[in-house]
Amino acid sequence: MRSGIAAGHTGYFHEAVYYRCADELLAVAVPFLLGGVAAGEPTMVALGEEHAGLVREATGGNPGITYLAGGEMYARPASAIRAYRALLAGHVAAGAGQIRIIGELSPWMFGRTWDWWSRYESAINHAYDDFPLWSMCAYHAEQTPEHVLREVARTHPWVAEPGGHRPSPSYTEPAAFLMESRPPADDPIQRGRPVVELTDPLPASARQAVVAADPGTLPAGAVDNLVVAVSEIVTNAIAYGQAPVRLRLWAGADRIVVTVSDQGPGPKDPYAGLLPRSDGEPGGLGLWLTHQLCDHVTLDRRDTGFAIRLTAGGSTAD
Amino acid sequence: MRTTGTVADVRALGPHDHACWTFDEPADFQVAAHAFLRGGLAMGERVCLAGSERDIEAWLTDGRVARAVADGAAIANVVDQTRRSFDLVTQLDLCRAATEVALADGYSGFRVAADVTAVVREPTNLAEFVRYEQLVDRYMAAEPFSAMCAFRRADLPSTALARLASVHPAGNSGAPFRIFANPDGGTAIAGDLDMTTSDLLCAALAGVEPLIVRGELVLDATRLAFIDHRSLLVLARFAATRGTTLVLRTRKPHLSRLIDLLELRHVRVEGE
Repeated sequence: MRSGIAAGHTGYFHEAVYYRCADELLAVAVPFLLGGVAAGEPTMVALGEEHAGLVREATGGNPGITYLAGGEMYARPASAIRAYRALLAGHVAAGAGQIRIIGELSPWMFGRTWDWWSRYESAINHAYDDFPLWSMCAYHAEQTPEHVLREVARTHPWVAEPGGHRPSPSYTEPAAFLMESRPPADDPIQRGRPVVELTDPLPASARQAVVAADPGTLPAGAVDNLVVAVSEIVTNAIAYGQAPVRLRLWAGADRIVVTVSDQGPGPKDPYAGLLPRSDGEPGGLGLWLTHQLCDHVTLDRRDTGFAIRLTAGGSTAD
Repeated sequence: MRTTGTVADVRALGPHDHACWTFDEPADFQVAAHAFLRGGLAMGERVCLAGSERDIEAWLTDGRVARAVADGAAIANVVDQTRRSFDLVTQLDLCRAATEVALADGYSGFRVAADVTAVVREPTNLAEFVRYEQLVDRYMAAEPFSAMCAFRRADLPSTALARLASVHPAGNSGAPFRIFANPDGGTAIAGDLDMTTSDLLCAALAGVEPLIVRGELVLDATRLAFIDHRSLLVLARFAATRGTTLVLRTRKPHLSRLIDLLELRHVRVEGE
């Protein structure tokens, strides 16, 4: 049995909360959380430190509410999905009829890496639909960039307000949203000449190019992970894409950026990269691993072909 | 420690070594084989050249070799160049027996340089011969027997040469990866595994008799430079079909992460 607005709903009930001040957020969050505790449902908070503190205070430190540490879990969308699915499966196995979570993305995620977090917000409508989850994602109505809010409205089927709940008119099914052509903004490093350009490389020569470009200043393991990712992506391009496959590589002091493009339409699976496999399409696992191993991955679907950009290192904020 | 990887000079090879030696002209084979066998004689091993009549003639023009043949330290075997049949068991028994006799006669080991192109030129022999190479490699890893298996490039398809190279720990031409025996009876895998090696890997694994200790199949991956997720799944299946846990000996940290992400519960990494 599910309590509240999601009663009778099957699967994931995914809401956005737009607030202008902390009180507006609390006006939605507190009844949501206390309602979950009263119904005996696993009730969790995945808010940043400041908002979590306010919620704790406003709910009188209610012991029925669990506070999740963000940290590594939110480092990458594919990791967050993997961790949340495991968490949700655990609660369902333990007999939960519904699970409530209120969370927020950190403002740095609205920067250069927003594209994969918008894909995350869309994909979870599918990825968490296996579970009786009711979640709210909090966004500041004024401080969140306009283009981000537009995509939030398109990826959250519901909006929670102090007075109640309403459907989001621009909501777009993930299978459609994720297949749209949304060319990502160039990394500024791409304005310079690539240090490596290869046409139809074998995976081994692609790997060698990455190793040779290592500036030696990236965090430990970042280059090793990029070597694995580039190998997987070039393998996919050769196996499932359409030649010519082009690899370009830029190296800066703090990051290496690699693009791999081919003339094909890209993966047919809309969730490719964010979920390990959703329809058994070949190649899905390599792209998913890449999303786990790189610091940023963009997918660029166009009429003229498909391109992936992989980044190791670098600041995720700007 | 066995010599592994690409070896430019046969003089780098010693007891227990097993090299795949490709050549273009018979003279190239002869030069390498003579140097390899001279090394064996210098170490007090019994040596054997197996090749064409011309190969043998060229060898025997060296007075030291002729004397070694006369006193039993060297053996010259003419390989029938029209030979079509190959029997794994017979060949293996011959190597074992020759090594044991050499030791019994007071030599420190047994060393062979053989042009075996004629045997594998017959396509139906290839799979059996590769299997033989893998079995004899196990014997070499444990006993003082070493060999230089020579193949003439022009006479064999590149796929056959790649397959042969992949089951020798060493060779004069590069191989993307190599599977071979360790002295402890275990199996080592070296090099790079990716989409370009997937067929070769499956073929090579088919001939591996893995060492299974307490339900664990240990692969020495200390010289494995790279493995992609597909090849890792192939290794995992190889162990799973034998009902064992796969243990990869490696210091590569990215492997543990891949195993974790792929949720391969019956695969683990063990540092050296």
